[in-house]
Amino acid sequence: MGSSSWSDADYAARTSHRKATGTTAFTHDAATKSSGINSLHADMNIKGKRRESRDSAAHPESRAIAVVFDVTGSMGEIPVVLQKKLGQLMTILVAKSYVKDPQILFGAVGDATCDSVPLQIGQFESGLEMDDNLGKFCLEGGGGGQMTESYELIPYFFARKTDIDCFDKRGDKAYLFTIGDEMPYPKVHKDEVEALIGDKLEADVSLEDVTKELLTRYEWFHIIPQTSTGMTPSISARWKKLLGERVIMLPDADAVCETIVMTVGLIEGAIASADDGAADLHAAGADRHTVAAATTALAVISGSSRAITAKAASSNLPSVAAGDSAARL
Amino acid sequence: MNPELKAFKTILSKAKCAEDLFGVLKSKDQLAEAKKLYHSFVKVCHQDRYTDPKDKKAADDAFKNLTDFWQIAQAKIADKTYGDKKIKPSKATIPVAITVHSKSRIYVVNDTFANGDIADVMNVEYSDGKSTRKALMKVARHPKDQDLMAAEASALAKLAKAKAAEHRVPLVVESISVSDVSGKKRSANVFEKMNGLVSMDAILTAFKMQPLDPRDVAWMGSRMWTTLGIIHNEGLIHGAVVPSHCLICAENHGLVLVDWCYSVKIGEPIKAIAPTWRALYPPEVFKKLPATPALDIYMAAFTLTIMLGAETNIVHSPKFPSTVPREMQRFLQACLIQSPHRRPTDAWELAADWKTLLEKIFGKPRFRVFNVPAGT
Repeated sequence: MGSSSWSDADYAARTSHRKATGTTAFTHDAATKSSGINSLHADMNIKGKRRESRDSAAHPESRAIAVVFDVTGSMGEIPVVLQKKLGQLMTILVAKSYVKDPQILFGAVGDATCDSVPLQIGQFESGLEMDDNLGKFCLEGGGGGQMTESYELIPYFFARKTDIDCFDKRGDKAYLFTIGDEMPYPKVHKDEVEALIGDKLEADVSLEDVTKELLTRYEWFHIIPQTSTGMTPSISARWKKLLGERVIMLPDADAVCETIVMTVGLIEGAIASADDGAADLHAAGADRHTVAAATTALAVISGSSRAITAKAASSNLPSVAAGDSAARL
Repeated sequence: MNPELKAFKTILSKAKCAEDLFGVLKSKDQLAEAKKLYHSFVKVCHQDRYTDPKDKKAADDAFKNLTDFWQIAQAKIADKTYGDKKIKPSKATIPVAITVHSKSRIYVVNDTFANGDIADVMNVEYSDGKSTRKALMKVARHPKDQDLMAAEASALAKLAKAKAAEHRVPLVVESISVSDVSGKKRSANVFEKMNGLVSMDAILTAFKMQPLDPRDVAWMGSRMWTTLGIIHNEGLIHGAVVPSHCLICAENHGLVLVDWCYSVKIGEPIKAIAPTWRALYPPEVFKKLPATPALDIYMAAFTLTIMLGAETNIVHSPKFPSTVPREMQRFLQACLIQSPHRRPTDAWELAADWKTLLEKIFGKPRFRVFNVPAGT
């Protein structure tokens, strides 16, 4: 996957075509809604499958970036925002050299205890296919109403079921952004894993353990849009207990793209502060309000000398053939 | 631009040769004198001192420029031509200085100290502000092994707080991620250098695989059980107690347990093994069962068994040389029971039992000089 290239012009052409014909980007959702049955698009089904982000001749330094959003209730607008601003996201990441060859994956999560389509995961893509992937989502709009969604399945999937060349070959961690205004369940349940992902586990895994496992290969950030649910103190407290500074409280849900771009820029050291990132975003024509919202949200990460923004030590240490790694069990 | 950096850039721009930068070197050890100056210059050129991207870039350029002069200066000092501005260094002697710039230190990388299973260990030097300190930098060969290097760093950070573990495990100077020339991020742990240590593996080689005298293995065993007791108290399992990870100090009968990359907390399964020592691992490791102190005890007993020159084709009943006292054989055999539930789990108890056993076999403890063959 991820063999084509992102082209701003292609994307603009597709968007204007959509406007002219009055079609929506969420074609699968529109089709399922009209049929009255919520269904999982085959390409979004991950049962028994893995997801790969690989280097190629066209993308020698692939960098996996996964964005998984909550598709229930109050969060329904997020995929629409992502779709609208996808072009901007890619343009800044590449043009400003935050990362070299981004490969973006979109996913959606609901509640495995009551939703019919609780987990949808696309592919890592470098080109317009990522827009196609957005088109395959079934936007459920349900939600359990008990302030909990099956977010815990996401770190499980990315920790154990993804092959990412950026880390495996170069030691650059991939990115995972989850967006949602509810809480995760405390455990990854083995029966849900078997039903949705296809792995047979001996026992449930705690969210803390799976998070620890994920963070060895991914930079994981959770964005909580400040919706009425997102403002509930117990929800942000739960996430902060799990991820600490990696929880981003976002005042305006429309600013998710800007927030993702800035976070990547900060962690990569491409920008020194959120304000630098804001300048890049303004230059790319981003909306002032959303940029301001993202800047506020990232105040914690920005300018900190904390471990999460620590850069690798520069050196002229010769490269070695990385053939022999440890014998893993 | 930062005024200090600006001033240094001016000096650099005016310098036409190494002598212009390092000046007259009056002391007997010209290299040491030049090195001191070099380190002070390097500090000014350290990117992390500056926040402005322009300053960072200027510092980086200055550093490259400085390195060129430094190489020439070193070569001319070696040639004994330093001071004569007209003479060029004989090219072959210009060493390529390898440096690693962490947030707080600059390491000059010298020769390779050892090649481990997953990492290379290099002799390095850094300045602590007062003097040049020697250290060892262990750099993972594969970017994938970040988690193992992090496991080592976190285990040793925990043990650094335990007074009892002092001189029994390495001390970490810092843990960093190093970007090499190809841009690969490789984890590195820097250790304080400990002198006078030799691995049990090297001892075996030095003795041409001849069995050690049981009286020598006696004190090695005592140190082993106590060290394991201490680390298990801290909730840690070393997970790779093999001859190459057990370093001996012959002078004071010390034992230092190194390579903590495979370590886990008690109750977690072992994630990876040292491939060359596959035969020394107990069965629960391959079944990915939770690690218990019995795991380290098994591997330690196996290591001592090898040191005693036993044939270990059948692990649970090794064939010891006849010179090994029966009681010692039985003791080690009990630690090599395949089922972790039936194996001893308390290293402190073993330490006490081992002591009783030694007194019974050899009488009152006396210090026995252990001579490591020269050149080991």
